[in-house]
Amino acid sequence: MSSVTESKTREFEHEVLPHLSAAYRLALWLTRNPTAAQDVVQDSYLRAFRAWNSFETGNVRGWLLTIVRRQSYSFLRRGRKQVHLDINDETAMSPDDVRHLSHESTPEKVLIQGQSVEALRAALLALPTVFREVIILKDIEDMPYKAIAAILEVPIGTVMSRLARGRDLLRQGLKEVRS
Amino acid sequence: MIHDPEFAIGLNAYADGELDEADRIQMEEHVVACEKCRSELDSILALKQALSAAQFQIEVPNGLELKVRRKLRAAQRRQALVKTLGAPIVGIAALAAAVSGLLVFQAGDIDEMVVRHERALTNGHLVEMSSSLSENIKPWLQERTEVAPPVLARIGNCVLVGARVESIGKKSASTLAYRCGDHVVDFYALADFHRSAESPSMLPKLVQSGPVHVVAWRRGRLNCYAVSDLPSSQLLNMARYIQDHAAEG
Repeated sequence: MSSVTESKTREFEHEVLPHLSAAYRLALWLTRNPTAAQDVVQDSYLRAFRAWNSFETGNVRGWLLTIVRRQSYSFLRRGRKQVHLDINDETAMSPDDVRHLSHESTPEKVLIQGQSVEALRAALLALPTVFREVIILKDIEDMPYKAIAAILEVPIGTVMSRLARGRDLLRQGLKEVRS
Repeated sequence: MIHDPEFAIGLNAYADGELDEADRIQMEEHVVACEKCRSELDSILALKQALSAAQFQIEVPNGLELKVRRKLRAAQRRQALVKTLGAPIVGIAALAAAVSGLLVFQAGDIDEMVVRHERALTNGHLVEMSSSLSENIKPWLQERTEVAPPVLARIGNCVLVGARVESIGKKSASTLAYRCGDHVVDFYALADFHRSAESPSMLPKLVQSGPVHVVAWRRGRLNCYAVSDLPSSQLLNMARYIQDHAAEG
């Protein structure tokens, strides 16, 4: 076996495998299916490995998560009819709906602080994928807007608007779980 | 509540610490003066806090890293072959080998052994049964695996340090660990019950080279592998020694 490919593999493993956990978490949040998430992660690593020569220095984690997201979406598209997911439709809830949902006078802070982890998980999983992914990357993975925009392959403005709408929807979802 | 979507976006960016200095100061002044916006900001911050504090306990499943490493090794091997022979020839050769049943040693198993070997070194968990005596190791392996390999207490300068059982390709593999100076050699033995004990032997040969070499051979029902970063010639000699002195083990 060529020592060039061997050293390339070792370098790749050293740089990219430490992000396995983040890759799996994102795949699971997006696919909502542990078996599919494992397949997505394996395929993503294989694709990343093949493209490793073209990767220049930069954010390895962000680069890997971009691939994981694409693979997750491929999985979702393949199973779209079966799982009835509206993965790309940002208007799954219209702006009017969102505004309506936001019209609430109860102190939400108290309500949100009292939520269980399971209620949070259920409300997150019920969100349309485009809103769920941006909240996962920002509020759970703690990534800056710029990195999120690179992963989602959208302008920063889109990240900002999706976050605002996504959080509105999530808060509404939490209220419904509670009531 | 916030009815202006543009303002809502700004308030969220403020909560995320993503506004530039001028916008941040402007937003801060507004929030201090506006009770409704302050309440909305509190709600956004509470949500962010709840999400970051929530222990969702998403653990990477056992074995996923190993599966990824195996896929990478397989891709690496293919890339190396393509580089050497060209893609069409590799494809034809793989097809021919598969059809004719010539793929004697399972590539996936070999990858897994290399990964297990490296993991044992990294974790310092070389053995489950620590002993340099073959009379201790042999029965320990016989209790745990289908066929125990010959166990030699010493091979040249290399000394037996113990044994462990690894799961390779869903089979239990007897694994003997030897120390050779600063190096560690793992010997794996896997039973193949499609073959008889009288099946012809296959002499040791180098099946994978790199920082970690793998030598494979066959004796009766046992497929045997030696895995180490020792020079490949030395690893081959050890395997030949075992092959020649198996009856003593």
